[in-house]
Amino acid sequence: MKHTPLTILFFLFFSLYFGCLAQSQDKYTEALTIKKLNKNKLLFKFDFNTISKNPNYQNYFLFPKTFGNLVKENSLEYLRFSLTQGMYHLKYGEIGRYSPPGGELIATFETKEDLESKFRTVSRKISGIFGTSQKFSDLTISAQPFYTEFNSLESTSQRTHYSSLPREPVCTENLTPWLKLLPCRSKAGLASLLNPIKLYDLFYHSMSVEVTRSQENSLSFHQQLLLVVELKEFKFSQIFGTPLIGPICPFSSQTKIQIEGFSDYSSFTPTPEEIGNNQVGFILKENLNKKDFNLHYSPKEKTNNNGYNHNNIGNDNSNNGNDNNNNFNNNGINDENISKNQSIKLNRFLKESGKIRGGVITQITNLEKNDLHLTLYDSLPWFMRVYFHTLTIKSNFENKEIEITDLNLESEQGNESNLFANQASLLRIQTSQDHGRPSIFELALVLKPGETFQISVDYLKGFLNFEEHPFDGNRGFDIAPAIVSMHGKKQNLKKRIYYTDSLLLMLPTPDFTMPYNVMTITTTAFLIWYGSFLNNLTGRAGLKLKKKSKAKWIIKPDKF
Amino acid sequence: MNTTLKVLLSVFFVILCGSPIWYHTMTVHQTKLPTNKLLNLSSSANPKISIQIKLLFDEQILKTQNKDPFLSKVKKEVTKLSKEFQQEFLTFQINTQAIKLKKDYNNMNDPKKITKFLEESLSFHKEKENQKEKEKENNTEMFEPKYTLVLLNIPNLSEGIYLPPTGRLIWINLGESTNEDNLLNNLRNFFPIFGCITNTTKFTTQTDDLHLSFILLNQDPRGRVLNWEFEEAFNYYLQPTLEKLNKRFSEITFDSEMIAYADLEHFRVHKSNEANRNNEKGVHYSISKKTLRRVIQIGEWSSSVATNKPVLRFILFVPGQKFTPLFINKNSGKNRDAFIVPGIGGISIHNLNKSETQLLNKNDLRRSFLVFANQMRLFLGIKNLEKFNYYDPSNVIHDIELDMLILDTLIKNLNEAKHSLVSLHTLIEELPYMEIPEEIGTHIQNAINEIQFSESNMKKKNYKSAYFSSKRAIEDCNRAFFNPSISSQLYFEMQNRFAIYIPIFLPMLAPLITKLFKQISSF
Repeated sequence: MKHTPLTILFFLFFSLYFGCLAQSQDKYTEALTIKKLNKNKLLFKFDFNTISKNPNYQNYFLFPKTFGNLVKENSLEYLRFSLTQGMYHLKYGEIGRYSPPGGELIATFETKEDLESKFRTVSRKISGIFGTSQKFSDLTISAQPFYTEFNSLESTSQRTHYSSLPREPVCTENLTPWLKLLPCRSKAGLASLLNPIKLYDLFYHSMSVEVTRSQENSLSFHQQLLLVVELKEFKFSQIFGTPLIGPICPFSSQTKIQIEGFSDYSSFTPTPEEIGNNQVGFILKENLNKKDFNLHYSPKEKTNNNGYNHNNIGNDNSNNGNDNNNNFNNNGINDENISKNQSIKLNRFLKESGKIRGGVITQITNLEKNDLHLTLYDSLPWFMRVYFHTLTIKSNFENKEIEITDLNLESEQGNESNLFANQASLLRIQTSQDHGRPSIFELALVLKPGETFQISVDYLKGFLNFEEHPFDGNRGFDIAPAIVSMHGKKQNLKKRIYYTDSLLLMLPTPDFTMPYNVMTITTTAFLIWYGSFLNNLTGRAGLKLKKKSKAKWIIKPDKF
Repeated sequence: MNTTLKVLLSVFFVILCGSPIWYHTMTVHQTKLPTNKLLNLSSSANPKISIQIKLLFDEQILKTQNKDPFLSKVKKEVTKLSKEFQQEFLTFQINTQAIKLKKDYNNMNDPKKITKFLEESLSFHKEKENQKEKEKENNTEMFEPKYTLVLLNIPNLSEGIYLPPTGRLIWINLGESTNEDNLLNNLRNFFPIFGCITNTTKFTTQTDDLHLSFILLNQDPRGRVLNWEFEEAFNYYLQPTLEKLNKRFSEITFDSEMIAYADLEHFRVHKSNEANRNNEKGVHYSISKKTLRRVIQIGEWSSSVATNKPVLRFILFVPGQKFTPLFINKNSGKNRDAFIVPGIGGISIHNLNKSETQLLNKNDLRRSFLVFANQMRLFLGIKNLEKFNYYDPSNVIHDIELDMLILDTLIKNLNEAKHSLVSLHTLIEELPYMEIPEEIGTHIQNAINEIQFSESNMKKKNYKSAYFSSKRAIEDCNRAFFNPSISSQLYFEMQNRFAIYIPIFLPMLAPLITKLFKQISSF
């Protein structure tokens, strides 16, 4: 057949038309944000977004089927799961939504019926998908935060279940299934940078998946990877072990690298450009595969510090506990551990005396220039039996206790304006049940500029059953951080969530060799009984007293 | 009385008193099972299914023959034939009749039109309506294995047996030669349709409930982002069959997804310059048959499915530009582009033409979906028969085949249920120390009831409800058989008890008993 120009045009038009059609179903974008943080820290934030409009939960294109099924079968509206290694401190700067150490699972369901059993199913499936021990986040540690809003959905208070496993380790075996959810896996696009060997060597590492089903019947799937490194200069090949070689993901409608917070963009090679919306960076096109993209940053004023320091991992936690306790009366603001734009400072530590009692202290400081409206969600496991009457809040302004108003909302979410009518209000209390549910308290707080609240509560340590102890029981128990969420008009754009430090609680541990002791004692007792019994039967069996002998007892063993 | 005797007596006293307590604590709860019913049931044979066949001759065939003696002779021969094909559970009832067709159909050569013509002239529509009314009255869908076989001679059309996709009408075109031998030969070819369900080709363990997962595997999406009009293609090629199956036979669900960057690195891909399947010269690539079994075992290729049903995966593999065109090299030298992995699913290779756009539409997918349809037939165990003309390929499973599938499964279910009940019974008898909770008794009773109900329905020729109760019987049997409380005790036999008690009690009792004998002899 001869191809006339008209037929070629016709084909061209159709291929364009169908090409657009193919992509209009699901939309996928990739972005990498490189941000300069305080204290020589750098943030690498990978965002992979898939949006599926009018999904029928049967035919999937770019949206991962596993999560589509999960949403449909459990009537989920929102799901966020994160796995994190290391602790992110706010003093490095605000990076938007971040996650506490270990595994965190938040699920919002359509209705509040059967919430716990549905959550159990979801957490089991998540453990299955990512190879984690999230399934152990049973009802003894998971609960429902009523006044913390994790997403932009409306009135989610009674339909959300939350669990946190602070001790969950993160490993490459968790990253592999995470990468598999991407349309191009790690074979093309920005994800080809994610080399598992290098990734876990960094200061802070947090990967998450977030599924949101919006009212307009669209499903969004957001995969995020946060990496914080301590470097003064960097090269892709140095951090990730490889430059960006692979082609960009052909399914991605936009692949961009965004650069934020650097004063000298000229120190980058290649030099970043304007990419719209007052952003600077690169928009990657398909011709990338002709040349490796190895972004290089070396600031002109060099210091002696070589930058990358392996030993820094985890060492930066020095400012928890007592250091901050001393700062309490110093107004908290002149602290050197505070960054410029930080709006809140959080500390949490244990006040221990022996292995029986103790207390949890949480400090919140307002660093903004106006009042802050906050809610605090604190969930403590059942083996910390909380004495709720010891719940006190001290302010550094008057240096006295603040009266806590009991709003007694009876699990009904009140009007938000009512929540913050007083300086401190108790929104909800849930007492714990042994081997059952955790104890929870939620507070609404209003902090004046520069004010620090010290919230303390005492507890009595519980005894765990023998088999409830982990294998390394003497290491202590990790306690999940409390969640502080910001409310109010100023933060209306996005409700922010902050996490306090996680704690390590030492519990009285039994002697784990006990069962062997019991066995030994029992066997000894049995042996004494049976020995004497046997002696009685056999020892005297052939006993014959010789009549004329001098000796009274001559024992002659029988043939027996 | 000496001390030894006292000790001995006290020990034996303890043993004597302790034994009943020990015995009491060791006895297990055993529910009474309906043993008699169970044995009666297993010894009784299944009721037979009678298939009625109406043999209709066009008078044109009979023109050359002597009508009455010919018909009686044919009937005799057919009865003989049917006995040959009569299976364990099938009996045939055959009626022979000559008819006069109104219109001259000899010039027709489209099987669809002929079928329509036959249906109209034999007033099949009326019968269908009657049946619908009946079903409405009884509020259930009935089906009876009643088939009409029409013998025609249309010289323009090739000789053979024509199987319309719906309805229970089959027609045979005798072609030009209408003699007796040809007729009997054709009838001989027709009877195997009642044995079209085979065990040998059944790749799934359970055919009843299935989940079908369709996957578009795009090896290299670079420069060729691919999407497929799955819904359209599925609705066109497979949905009618699935609806039919779901309505009458089983519960089959499906979903689809796209996976990109599925690598071929695990296979040895050969490059060759030989002529390919269409005898076009040029470079093509091939995977050898030996490496195929690794295909679906690779985790990357199979995706997760959230269902408890057995899953069949149908994969449309689009090789990357580097490996196009790709075929499977068979030992015979012929190149294929589809294969089946028993119990797991089927794969069809789709080599993209340059003219194909980024969206595979219904027509592009036609070949692959027909392959999937045929693979599904294989998975259900339906055999393609020789001399049969399945002239409508879009209809995967024909009504008569589905009837046979249901009847076959019904008989198999009944046999299996009975067999598992009997083996459960023997197991319980062999292991007298096994605990049998109430639950198992109820399940067994339910299974027996369902079997009886199914058999009585078979006698009433209500095969649909017979089939569904046989399905429930199997479920109940499985629940009884795989009850966790008995399966854990299957491995705890009497020998094990001895193995536990002997090492401690034998050394303890030996001195006691010998001493007792000594004492007795000393008196």
